[in-house]
Amino acid sequence: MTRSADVDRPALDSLDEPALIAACLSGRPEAFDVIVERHRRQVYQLCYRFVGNHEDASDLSQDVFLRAYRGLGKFRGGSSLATWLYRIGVNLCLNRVARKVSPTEPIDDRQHIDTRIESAADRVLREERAVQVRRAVATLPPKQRATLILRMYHELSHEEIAGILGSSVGAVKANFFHALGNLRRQLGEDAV
Amino acid sequence: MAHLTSDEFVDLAEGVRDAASAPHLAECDRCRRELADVRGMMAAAGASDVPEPSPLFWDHLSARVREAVAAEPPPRSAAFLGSWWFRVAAGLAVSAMIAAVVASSIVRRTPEREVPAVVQEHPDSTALLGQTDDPSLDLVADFSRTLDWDDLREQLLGSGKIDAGVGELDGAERRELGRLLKEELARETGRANRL
Repeated sequence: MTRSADVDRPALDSLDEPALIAACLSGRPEAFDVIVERHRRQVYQLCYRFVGNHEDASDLSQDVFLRAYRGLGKFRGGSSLATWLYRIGVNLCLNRVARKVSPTEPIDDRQHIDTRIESAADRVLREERAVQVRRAVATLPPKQRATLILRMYHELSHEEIAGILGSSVGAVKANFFHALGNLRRQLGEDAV
Repeated sequence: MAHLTSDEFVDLAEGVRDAASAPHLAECDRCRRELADVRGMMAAAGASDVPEPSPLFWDHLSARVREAVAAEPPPRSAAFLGSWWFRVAAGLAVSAMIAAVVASSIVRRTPEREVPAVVQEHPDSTALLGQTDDPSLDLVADFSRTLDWDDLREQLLGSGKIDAGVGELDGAERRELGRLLKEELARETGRANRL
């Protein structure tokens, strides 16, 4: 990045999303950095929940932002930028899972967790439970998976999810219901 | 007895609907258990966090995206994609592609001519346009190399915008468009006949 771009960065940080998009379209790609910074965590988490491993989630996240950059001129602002990015992410993830079976995280994968507020035993149990849930989510049928992830972890409304998946609100609710049922069956009846 | 639907279970579990609005629940043990299961599973699923990657990962991801974006042409605004001259240029590019396909099909019908030579000589169909002396066709060639065909389908074929774009041209522009198309088609046909 050039020195002038660095100098401009605080100014870009203060811009709202329409202004950032306008800046990108007027030839300031550094404005896209700010968009990436604001949304990268959510996009990565969406992809991770879909594919269940860091490497694929990382590659997919990069693809999401690259596709978004290419299509920025088509973004009409009918939804939030986050929802638009989720739409791109879900489509990429659906394509990915249709092509290959991703290796999901191993059961003993250790995460960066704040250890100050819980005992070691509690932490291990919680981690193992979280891994089991994520693995179960990653094996759901693609549309159920997308629906559950967008609803539970990104708090999108059923209407927004219907828009992203190109289905009806009723179908989204049915998918969500069946996803929870499948999750329960996978995790065993003691899950609830 | 009609049990609750998936819609009703979801609305009740999310608290959008009050249990009082579903009197069936009071008399159906199965639906009560199902609702409790749905709520329990939502709580269990909600408690599962995504593992936090290394703190260095976020800047690394941004750098990867920045690098990839730097290799891309600048994004075009919707106003640009919808402009009449872009639509005409895109229409010309599509016409040139059609002309190339027609020309190659003519060649294909003549057995003694070597069809693969056409493909090998012009792997980029837009290169045909780039070889012309006509500066307006050079402009079209430059455009067509950067075309996103998904955009094109959406912009042009989806809603008859080629017709609308041509409709916006004045008489002189239409004559010029017709001349360019005829010239390009004649050139392609001549080239195919020579091969």
